Amino acid sequence: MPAEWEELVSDWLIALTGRGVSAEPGSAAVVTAYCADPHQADQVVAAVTRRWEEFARENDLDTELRVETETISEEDWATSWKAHYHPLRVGRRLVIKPTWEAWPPEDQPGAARPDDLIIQMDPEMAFGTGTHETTQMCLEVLETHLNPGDTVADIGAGSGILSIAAARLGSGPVRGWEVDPVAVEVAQRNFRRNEVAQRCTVETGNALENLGGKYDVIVANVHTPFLLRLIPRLAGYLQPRGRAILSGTSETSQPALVEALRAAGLEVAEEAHRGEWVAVVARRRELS
Amino acid sequence: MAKKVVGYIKLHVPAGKANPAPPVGPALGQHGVNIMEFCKTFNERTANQVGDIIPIEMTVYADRSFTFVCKTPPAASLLKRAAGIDKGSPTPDTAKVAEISREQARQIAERKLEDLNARDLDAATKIVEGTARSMGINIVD
Repeated sequence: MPAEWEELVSDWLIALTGRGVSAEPGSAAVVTAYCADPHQADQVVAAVTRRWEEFARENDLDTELRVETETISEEDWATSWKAHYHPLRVGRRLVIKPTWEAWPPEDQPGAARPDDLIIQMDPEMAFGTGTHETTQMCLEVLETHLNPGDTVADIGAGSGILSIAAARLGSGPVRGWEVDPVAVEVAQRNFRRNEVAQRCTVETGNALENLGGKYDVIVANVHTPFLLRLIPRLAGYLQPRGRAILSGTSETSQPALVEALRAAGLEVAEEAHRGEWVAVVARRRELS
Repeated sequence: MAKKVVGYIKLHVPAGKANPAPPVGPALGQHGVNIMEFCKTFNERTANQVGDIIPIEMTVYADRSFTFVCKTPPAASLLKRAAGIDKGSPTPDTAKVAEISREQARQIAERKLEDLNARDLDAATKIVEGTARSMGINIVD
C-alpha cells in the first residue's frame, strides 16, 4: 500500500486481530499482522480488503492493497534469539550459563575461576536472562549485600535467576512470587536444574497482599507502577536490619521512587545506574 | 567505534503490554533480539500511556543489542481522543459517530508530522482527514 496509509491500515489490523503489528518502511509499506489460526486470517483478510476498497473509493485512490498470507511456526522465532545468548560473568563470582553452552567457553579456557558460582539458565519465555541491565545490577547488589543464611523474598521472580543467585551466594530460604503462571513453571525447572529446589520456592501471585513474614532481603525487579504499589507495604515485610533491592525503574521514574520510599519510612542506602536504568537498595530510616 | 547495524524493526504495540506473542516475538526473534529484554524496556517506558498503541522503530546491532524510539500515537488514537469516542464507526460511509473541526485535524497533523510519511503539513492533514473519514468522524469547518 502507499506509505502514507501504513498507519491507518496498521490500525485496522490491530482492531481486527487484537494484537500489534510489525511494519517494513519503504515507499510501498508492508504491514504484517498475526492471527491465531487460518480461519481468523481469512476473516481478517476479507475485512481489511473490504475496508480498503471502501476507503480507496471514498478518497479517490487508485492504488491496490496487496494481501498475502503465510503460516509460521512458533518455534522458529521463540528460540532463534538463543543463538546469541552466551555465558556471562556478572559481579565478581556469578556466572550465568545458558544450559546449552559450555563453561568455560571452548575458545576462552582461562575464563573460569575456582570460586565461580554458576547459574544454569534456560529462561524459555520468562523474564530474567541476566543480559538486562536491571538484572545485572540486582545480581551485583545481591553479591555485596547478602549475608550467609539471610531469608530472601523475590518479587516478580521471572526465570528464577535472582532466587538462584541468592541461593548460590549462601542465603537461607528464598520465597518467590510471579504473576505469569508460565514463568512459575520455568523458574521451578531452573531451580531443579541448579539443585536449589529445596531452598527456593515460587508461587503464582503478585505478593502485594501478603508476603507471609519478614525477610532479611527483599528483591523486586519489576516495572515502576508495581514498585510504587509495593513500596508502602515494604517496611512491614523487612526485618529491622533488612534491605530491599528495587530495580526495573528508569532514570525518569527514579525521583518518584525515592519519594515513595521516603513516604514509607525508608531511605536509599545505595543507588546504581546503568544505561537508562536504576537500582536502589533501601532500608528503614531509623537505622541512620 | 560505531556499532554495525544489522536490522531495523518497526512495530505497533499496545503501551505497557508488550509480550513475547506476535508481533513482538516473530519480528524480534528473526533478528536474534532478546524478546523479553525488549518487552521489559518497552513496558517500563510506556507504562504511563496504557490504552494507546505505540509505534516504535528499533535498530538492531551486530552483537544483537538494540535501541528503539517510541513515536507519536497513531492518528486514529489521537482522533478518537479529540472526538471523545472509544472506537470508530464499523460502517464509516453510512454511520458517522462524531465530528471534529478542521483546526483539530490540523493540530493532530502538526503533532504527527515528523512520524507520518508526508511531504508537508498539508499532506499530513490530508492523511489525518482521510483517517478520520475511515472511522466515521466528520470534519467540519
